[in-house]
Amino acid sequence: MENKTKKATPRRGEYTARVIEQRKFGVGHKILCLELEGTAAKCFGRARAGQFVQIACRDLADQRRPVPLLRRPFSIAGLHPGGPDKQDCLSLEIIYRIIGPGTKWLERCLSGDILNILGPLGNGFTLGQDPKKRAILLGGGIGLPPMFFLADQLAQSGYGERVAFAGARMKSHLEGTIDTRTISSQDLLTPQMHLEQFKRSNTGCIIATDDGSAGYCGNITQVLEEFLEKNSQWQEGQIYACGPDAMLKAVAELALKRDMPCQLCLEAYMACGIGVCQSCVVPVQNSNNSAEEENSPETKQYKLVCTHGPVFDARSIVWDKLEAKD
Amino acid sequence: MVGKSNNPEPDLAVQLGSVRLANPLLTASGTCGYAFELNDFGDISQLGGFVTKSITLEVREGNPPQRTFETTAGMLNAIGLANVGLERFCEEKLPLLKRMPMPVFVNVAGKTIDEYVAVCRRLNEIEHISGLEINISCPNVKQGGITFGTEPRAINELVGAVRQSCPGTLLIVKLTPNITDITVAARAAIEAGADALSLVNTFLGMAIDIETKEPVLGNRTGGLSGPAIKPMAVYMVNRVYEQVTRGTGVPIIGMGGISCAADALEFIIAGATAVAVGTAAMIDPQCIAGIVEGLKQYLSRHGLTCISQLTGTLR
Repeated sequence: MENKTKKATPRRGEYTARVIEQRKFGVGHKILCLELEGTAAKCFGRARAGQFVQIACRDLADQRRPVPLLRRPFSIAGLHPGGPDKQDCLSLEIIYRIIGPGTKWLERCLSGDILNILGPLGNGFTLGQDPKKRAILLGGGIGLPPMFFLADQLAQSGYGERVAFAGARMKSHLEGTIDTRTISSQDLLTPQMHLEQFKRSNTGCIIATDDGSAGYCGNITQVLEEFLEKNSQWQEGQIYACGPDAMLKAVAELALKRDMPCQLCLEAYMACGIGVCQSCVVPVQNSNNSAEEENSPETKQYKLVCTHGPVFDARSIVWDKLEAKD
Repeated sequence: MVGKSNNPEPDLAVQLGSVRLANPLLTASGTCGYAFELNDFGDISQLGGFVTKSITLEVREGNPPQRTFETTAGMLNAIGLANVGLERFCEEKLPLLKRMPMPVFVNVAGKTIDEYVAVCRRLNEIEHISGLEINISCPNVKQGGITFGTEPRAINELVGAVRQSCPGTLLIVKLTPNITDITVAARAAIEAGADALSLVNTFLGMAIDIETKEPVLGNRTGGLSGPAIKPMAVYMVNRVYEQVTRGTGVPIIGMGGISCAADALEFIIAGATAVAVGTAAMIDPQCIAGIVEGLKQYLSRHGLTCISQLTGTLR
């Protein structure tokens, strides 16, 4: 029995990961690459876009300094093979905004440092039932990283055409990944290889910034709306989105209005990330979600972002209640 | 210290009333769900016993978000006893708990005495449940919970009613620290028939968003757990041990900010027979095995043969 469980690759686990490098992504953002070995590499080899990791942003062994106490959740931004001499390794890419004590601690980590991670956690995106279906990827701000990984996975799986929409407050937030040479003011609605992380999967991208400093001036839903009007063949597409709640709500409304299938990757204040603490609840419709009802304590109205999600069908979210909490 | 290496493996077993635990480490209710959640992350078979999340008669959705907030070395929570309710617990969660190799204790909460009694009576029929922990100390629900835990007469009535309905069962009563004198509550619980006391539940707290001037938690207030509360919890355990339980022999399960063996040992020296790990297990499930190992090493290092010798040895 014991041997049997040891042989099977675990679904998730607590692992150590070695920092390979950190580099700048945009103003106030970093890309962190972690090396996974052995079981961790095998386990993460099956990770899906939308899944996340919980990183301990401190030395867990140092009991005198339990600060910051809780782990911090980060979406998986990419998984890459370990290279010729490290075939049983996997490189895990995380993109984070430096925002509080946890991410400040993370920012100070150097190559070779060992981190403790839990993962891969949650349920990722379900790649379309119809492989020929066009995929529309929307990432707003720190919601972009899972979209990079999703684009990789869609490309590898041989699904149909895809287009990405990247929203940011301003150009500087995309600095280090954006190729400004590809942006011209004439064809803001034509997908181009603007972003490094989408380029690797050959995914064309349309950029929208709040202040118009790069790409389309406005929000990501407006640009999608315009794009769909001009490119009717995409109106049959499957939408995948991740970003702030206000953006996701607008995307959900657009999808509903146009009767397009839409999966949203939600963010919530989280403590454990593994379905134990019951913190990260999101209000959902009470109907037809029985397929997901398996593990964690089910309630009439709330679902856990960490274990039921973070990916939800856009139609299942009750937005009024989600907003009421803000 | 050197000559001790020939000693046999120290005995970590402790006795909680009629129930024997292979080691004194339990889970604190609510922080380890229904056990299976932690399976992928740590070896929970190392535990001396498992305490479930609170079960109520009916399903509870819990409080509106935001439900938790990290403070300096602590965590505020106001989950509001979200749980699947008694029937679904029995149908869905119990089969997995029955496979656990160690004693399983179910934590029970309710709005009225009748509710507590109904849940306890039903659980009492189930063979694999080794005991019940009565939660009279949840700070995050409007009815029940803590309202039972601060009035000696209410404690007496509630614990007495449960005791009567489940005569042979190990009854643990979990007390709140949010009371002027915890020894009063401890005495009331023991007089009404408690076999053991869990000390302590979370400390009431609040965090404020200074930009919006609103409380961070949806419930406005919450309970503080984690390393931040450990000194206060150790103090409460010691106070109850010295003033109430040393004489009666009623064991204390100490908890509040335990994240390593040294923390657990403080509670035991203060007077606890067993200890529970909560917030820390949720952050690092592998700490469970580390704590058990650390206890063994401590006993060997101090030439002690069994851990029960250590309870209440504070000088």
